[in-house]
Amino acid sequence: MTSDARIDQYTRDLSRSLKGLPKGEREDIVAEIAAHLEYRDGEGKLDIALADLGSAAHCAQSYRDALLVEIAVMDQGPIITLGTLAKLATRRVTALLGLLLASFSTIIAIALAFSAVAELFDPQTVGLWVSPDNPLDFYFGKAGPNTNSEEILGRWYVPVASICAVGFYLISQKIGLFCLKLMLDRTRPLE
Amino acid sequence: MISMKIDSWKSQLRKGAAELAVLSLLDREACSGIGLLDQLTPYHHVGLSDGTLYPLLKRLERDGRIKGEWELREGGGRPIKSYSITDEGRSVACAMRAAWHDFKTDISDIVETET
Repeated sequence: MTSDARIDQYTRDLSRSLKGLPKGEREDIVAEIAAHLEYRDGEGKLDIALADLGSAAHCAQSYRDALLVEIAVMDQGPIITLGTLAKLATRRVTALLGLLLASFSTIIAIALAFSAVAELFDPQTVGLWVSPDNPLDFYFGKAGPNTNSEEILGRWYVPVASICAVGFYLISQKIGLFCLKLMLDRTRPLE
Repeated sequence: MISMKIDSWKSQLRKGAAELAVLSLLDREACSGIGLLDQLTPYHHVGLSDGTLYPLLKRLERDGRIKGEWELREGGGRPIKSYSITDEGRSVACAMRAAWHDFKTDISDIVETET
């Protein structure tokens, strides 16, 4: 295989491994690495340069993890936060824990928001239900047919559930961003 | 076992130092990744290689500490990216140098004092 073919092969593999990054970033990285390899080839050091870079997948990971985390931290949006945690969850325990906790919190937030809306249409069965025997036995939402629990919030259910939904949403965001920031230093180069 | 722990410790030391080294070199003159690697060749304890320099440059660029511009190479070939330090990068480098100097003085005092 000629040097040009080896450089092309490496940069193609690198581009493929960088999938998930914004197109502009990906093209910029690939062009820089291609120029680097071409320059080293001109010095007769292509083999050394390829060995120093490592496999295309390894090289891509140095960029990808750091960039994904940085983009998510800057964006601070819920979808990109959870998406980034999901992408990294298979490789990083922090991301996995963050994803589980943030997803759990998000699901509770969504369920509470739905129940607040449902309360408007079905005020008799939706609410905060508490067992008369055990005040710690409570739940938000729709009462089952055989429950002995009593609804205690009445018309206050909508604002309380809405506030709780926002609270859980914010907690979810905080957890996600906290885990991303924890990873920020660890995903930087020179590991 | 001890070797692994020392390697990990060295890696932590290098993380901050590599950024300072790159910013300091770019503070002297704009340079490509290749140029930086060539300048850093004698300083192998800094730990920057082909595989670690470019992701670091990308991060510094994203942080706004350096600015990259594509330039045509003399004699043809693919364009090469040249980096220059930004005003923000210069301020950061200056603060890092001051912190590094204080750190080095303290650590030298502690580590090199004979008991």
